[in-house]
Amino acid sequence: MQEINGYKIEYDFSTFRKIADLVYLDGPFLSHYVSSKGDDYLFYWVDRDEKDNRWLVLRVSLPNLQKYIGKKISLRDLIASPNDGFLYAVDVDNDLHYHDVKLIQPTSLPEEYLPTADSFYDFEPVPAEDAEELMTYELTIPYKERNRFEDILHKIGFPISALKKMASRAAVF
Amino acid sequence: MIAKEPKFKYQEQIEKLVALGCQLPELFAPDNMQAYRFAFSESGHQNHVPQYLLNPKRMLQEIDKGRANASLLALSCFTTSEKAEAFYTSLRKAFRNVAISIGESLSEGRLTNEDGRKTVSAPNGHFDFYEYEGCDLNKTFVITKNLTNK
Repeated sequence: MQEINGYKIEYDFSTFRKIADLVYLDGPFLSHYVSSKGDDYLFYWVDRDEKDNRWLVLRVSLPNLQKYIGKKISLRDLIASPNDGFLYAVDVDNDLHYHDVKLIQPTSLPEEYLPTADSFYDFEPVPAEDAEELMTYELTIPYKERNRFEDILHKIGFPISALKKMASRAAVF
Repeated sequence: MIAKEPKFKYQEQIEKLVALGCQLPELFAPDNMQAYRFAFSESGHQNHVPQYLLNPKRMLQEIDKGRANASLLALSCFTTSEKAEAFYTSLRKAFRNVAISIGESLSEGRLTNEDGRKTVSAPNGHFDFYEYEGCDLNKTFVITKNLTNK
């Protein structure tokens, strides 16, 4: 496998739960997971040798993930711009033990670990069995439309206070 | 006399997945159809082995933690060479080292009803093939093209 320049750390991915395999052929190549804190991550296969498969793990925003699935941005756009400014590289052996976790910056990735510029989504996602329980929906209402949105909710008998109780995250622009 | 249903090649492993809650998909006879698979041209490399039985297997979690997917014990095939090549091209854009995992070549062969059973074919040409006991696609599939010389 390629030598990678990163900062070795201990990180436990065992609490992550799968939402879907976004690219699957006899096994996952790109998978969407959610952490115990509700953050969205991608597990992206990049390499293997006789002992391990290597994955890059990066936090993504749902809007960006939706743009990728909607073919508006490429996979390279996602991988090269992780939410945290860095990715994790992790090796997974045949017993599914995760080891040699490294923090790595996108600019330090070897070219073979980056998709091509035209790597737009051309696959079908395979949802996990319990994906519906884990799926979150993100709705962003521009500030100038807020009053109109609240009026619409009021008219359909769904007060904004109820929505605020349901929503775990809200973005206001 | 009623003919006995043939056993799958990986019957024991399939039964373990069924015990974990997995169901086999609806399967159909291949009726001597031509099929296409990705493979390694190097003679020392294992071809036509389900990912779950390879070492190291390309998985992220134990099968009892998520969806128990019987596809792990099937072989991915395509209905036409064009659809197989199109899928490979998309894979290669997204995963530059994909040839290391699934091979750099296209292989083709005919699937008989004695070889096993297939799932319904997807619009992109992909289907899963569950081999019967005694099936060995290494004997019937041949390498036809290198998919990375582009």
